[in-house]
Amino acid sequence: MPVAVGLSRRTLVIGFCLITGSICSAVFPSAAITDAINRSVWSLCVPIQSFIGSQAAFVNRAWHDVARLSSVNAENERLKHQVEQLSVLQVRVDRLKRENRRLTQLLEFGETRKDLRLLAADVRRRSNSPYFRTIGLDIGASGSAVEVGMPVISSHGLVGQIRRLTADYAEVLLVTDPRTAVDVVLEKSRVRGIAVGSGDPREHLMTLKYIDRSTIVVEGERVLTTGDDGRFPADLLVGVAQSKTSSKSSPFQGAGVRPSASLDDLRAVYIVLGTTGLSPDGGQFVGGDR
Amino acid sequence: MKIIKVFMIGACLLGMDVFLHELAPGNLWCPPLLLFFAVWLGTRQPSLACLLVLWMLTILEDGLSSTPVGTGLARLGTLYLLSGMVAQKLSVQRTFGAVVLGASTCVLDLICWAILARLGFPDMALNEKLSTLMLPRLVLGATCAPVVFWVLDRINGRSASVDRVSGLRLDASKSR
Repeated sequence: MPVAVGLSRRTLVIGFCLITGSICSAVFPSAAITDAINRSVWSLCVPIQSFIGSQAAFVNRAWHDVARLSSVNAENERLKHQVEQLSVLQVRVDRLKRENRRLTQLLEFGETRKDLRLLAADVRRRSNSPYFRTIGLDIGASGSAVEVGMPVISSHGLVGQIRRLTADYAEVLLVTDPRTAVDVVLEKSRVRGIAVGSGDPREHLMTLKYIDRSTIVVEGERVLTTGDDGRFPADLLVGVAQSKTSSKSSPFQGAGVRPSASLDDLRAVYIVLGTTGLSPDGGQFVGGDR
Repeated sequence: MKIIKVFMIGACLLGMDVFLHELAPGNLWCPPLLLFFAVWLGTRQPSLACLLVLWMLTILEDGLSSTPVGTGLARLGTLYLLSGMVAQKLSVQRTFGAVVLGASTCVLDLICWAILARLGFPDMALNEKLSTLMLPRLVLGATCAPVVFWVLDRINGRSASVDRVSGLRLDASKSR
């Protein structure tokens, strides 16, 4: 056997012996001495191995984090697009929620006033004049049942009355238009007066006129229709009384009335076609059509 | 001092080897750094002291990779002695020589491993394992071994003292 440069015969012999011993140790691991050597080597190496393992796990995690970062940009763009879509959707959902709430209120109001024959109508336009307050209703196929002068109400109270009609469209004079006057009564004090639209360009207001000076008008008191004017049914909520306005020369005092119906935000209303002859809760017969 | 330095280099390579295997468990493309170290040691430092260093390192390797103690030295010790014998025939300092040496020792390592497994673990599905390992080991041996040898030469600071024509170490020639 040729001996390599630098490999002495002694090295070869010892190497051969070591390798033979190692083979025996590897091949017969269950022998007592081999088992003892194995166990002692492993017990020595376990802490080293767990240290190296923890470092490798740390590097592995860091590597995965870095790899994940590379996809973050694309994901960010995708999420931005998704957020935009969701924002649009959210606006639609909010609008539908509001509409649902309005319609529910309208429906509930219809249930509480079974004495009235009501026709629901959508608000299609509103006047842009700062002094004259009107809205336009889509009355569609039910147009033939609607007549000029019919009251219009919302779930919150009186809105106005029909002023003009076409085949499928009705113009409504709002209670805050200066051409409107409603015979009203204060709910608790039972003081009567006439509520006239103020035509205020800044906000929807009415003025309560012809109240005796000796009468005390309580702010916040509810103002209802009397039904005596023959145009509006009795006990419809018109608004709430506000601060008194009177001049020394006049024998009467006046008061502001804030309409209870949110006239700026009307979407759907009821046209009062007439009365049913029932009581408001629908239980008791109180007479024929007005 | 020199032998401690060699041991430290080997221990570092062993640490890297174990680290790489922990990093990518079961990955066939992890370079067998301790194998390259054994071959490098056989071609550059064929001495009894280095053989003992290798023996200690292989015991540690067996412990760290949870294989029966002795498996490492049976394979790497054989390769150490064989590479020491081959070194005089082949210019392992040149790239081509290093590539051939790396690839062939990797294949030899597999053969040693197969013989050992046949002797000690007859139930092991050896053919499938060998065929799976063969290509990665050949590629790794041919590509990584020259780099590892070059780095180890630089670290050991012995490249300058190598006769580039014969490929043998000058101090080894002197020792003859």
